[in-house]
Amino acid sequence: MRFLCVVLTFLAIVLSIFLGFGMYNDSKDIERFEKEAAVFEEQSELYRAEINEITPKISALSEEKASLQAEIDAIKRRIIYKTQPTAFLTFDDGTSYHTLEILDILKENNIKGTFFVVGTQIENGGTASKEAIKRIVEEGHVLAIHAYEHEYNKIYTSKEAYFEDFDKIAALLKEMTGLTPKIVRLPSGTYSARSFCERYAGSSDVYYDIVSELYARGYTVIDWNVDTEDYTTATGVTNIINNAVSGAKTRLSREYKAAVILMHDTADTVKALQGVIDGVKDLGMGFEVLVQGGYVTRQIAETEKP
Amino acid sequence: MRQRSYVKASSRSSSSYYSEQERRGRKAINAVFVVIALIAVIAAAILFFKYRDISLQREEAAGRLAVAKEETERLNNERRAINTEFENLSSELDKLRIEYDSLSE
Repeated sequence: MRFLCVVLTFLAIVLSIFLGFGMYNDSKDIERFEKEAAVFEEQSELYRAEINEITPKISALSEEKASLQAEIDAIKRRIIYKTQPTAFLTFDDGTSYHTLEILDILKENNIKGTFFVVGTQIENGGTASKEAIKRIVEEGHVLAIHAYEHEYNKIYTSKEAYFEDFDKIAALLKEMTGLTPKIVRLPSGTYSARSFCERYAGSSDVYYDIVSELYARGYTVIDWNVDTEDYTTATGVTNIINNAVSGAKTRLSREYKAAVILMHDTADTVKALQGVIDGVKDLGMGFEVLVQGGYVTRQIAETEKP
Repeated sequence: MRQRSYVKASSRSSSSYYSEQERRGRKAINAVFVVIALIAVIAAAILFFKYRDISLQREEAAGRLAVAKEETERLNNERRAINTEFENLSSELDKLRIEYDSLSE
């Protein structure tokens, strides 16, 4: 009995000694691990602070880079026109059955045009107008916004009135094509639009409000620098061609050899179009469409109130 | 003489050989041995459970250390990548600014 007790006590003491050493070592390890973990956590905090400090800087740099790159791309696209004579055929006030004829002529000549369309024309022009919209998109032309109602005394009475009309045409084109055209031409052009705003809204500020809002929404406003004067039948086919070609010729002596030719959706335009194309080609000019970040001409350059 | 030898012989083969006092003394010593052994075993058992707790704590601490180490390494890599991206962007932006200036002239 005593022997058994002695053996048990001995074993218990030996076990206790081993456990004691184990506990001592483990305690030391725990202490060491906690110290090391604290060092790592402290280091992590420093890294996190550094990351949090740099991340917004990277975002800012990325934005600056994207914006600078866009400007450079735009300059590069524009700079081409210093040496490369180019004509942009633009057609306002469509679409109608005339637009289909215009599209046929452009197709025969393998030229793309820019169409500034009017909502009431599309909706009241029957199947031809709707077919024209479809073909403009399918055949690779540029669909651009003019107005829903081409009524100066309505759209230029206030900024709200303008955008009520603008949102209608934008929605109509989106519904018909699924596209959101980003090129805009104000009815009558920027210079007259400002005068109309003075007359109908009582202040030119409304004009600047409209244009700055368009830019804020990501649109580009483009006028023309060659007027064919085809808006009246009094001009006649020959004069339309002469106006286009002589106007384009004057652009060749400018820094940017780019002619944005204004035409309309008329019978005389259809008749004159082939002559315009031939005459402009004879000047050594190529044909392009208006795009965002590309060539821009405006009678009023400022997009904000000066 | 015969009687004496009988008493002696019987005392060798029976507990009655010891006196009551001696028996009590032996019992007490045995009890002390048992108590000591019991205490030792209980102490060892307590130490064992304590050791098991500390071992678990050690494992947890080792786990926390591993996580902290891994997190620090991850953050360090992220920090390095972000710094590299920042430097690359800065140098790209410098080049773009030079290009923009030359194009704007």
